[in-house]
Amino acid sequence: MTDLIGYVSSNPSIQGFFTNLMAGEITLITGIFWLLFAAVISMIAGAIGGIILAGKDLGYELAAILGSLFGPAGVIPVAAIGLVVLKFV
Amino acid sequence: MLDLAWYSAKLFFKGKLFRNPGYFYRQLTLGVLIGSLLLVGLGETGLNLAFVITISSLVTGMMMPFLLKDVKMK
Repeated sequence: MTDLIGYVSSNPSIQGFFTNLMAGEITLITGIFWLLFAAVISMIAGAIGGIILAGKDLGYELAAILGSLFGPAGVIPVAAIGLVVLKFV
Repeated sequence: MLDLAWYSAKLFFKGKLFRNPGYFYRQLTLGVLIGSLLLVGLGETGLNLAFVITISSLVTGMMMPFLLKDVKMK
């Protein structure tokens, strides 16, 4: 375990990844990380939105499942486009 | 739940999931447009990127079910 921590903390590419992550620098690796992060957040947000919209009619579980399908459908293109725009503009 | 997601995705890529694909794509484009404006606008203010992405994903993700509420499944 300590070997692993030592390896991770002394590996320059992993250090670079965390530096970029903290500084808000968008590279290919941090871009992929943010895309996955946005997908997870959007599933949670979509589930909340689905429950607010149709929780009473459909039942809370089905509304949350449908919402969490619709959320990422919208957010993944947003994150991809937005990160590219932020990187180059 | 994963079964449902996988089954819907298969139907979607075969083009058989929705009864009204035009409506779906129009609403999706609207949502993506609003979300991108929000993300880029917040990003240009120079806030922390983690904060920007969390806020815009939350707002867009909560908006999508409202935009797509009239979508008809087959």
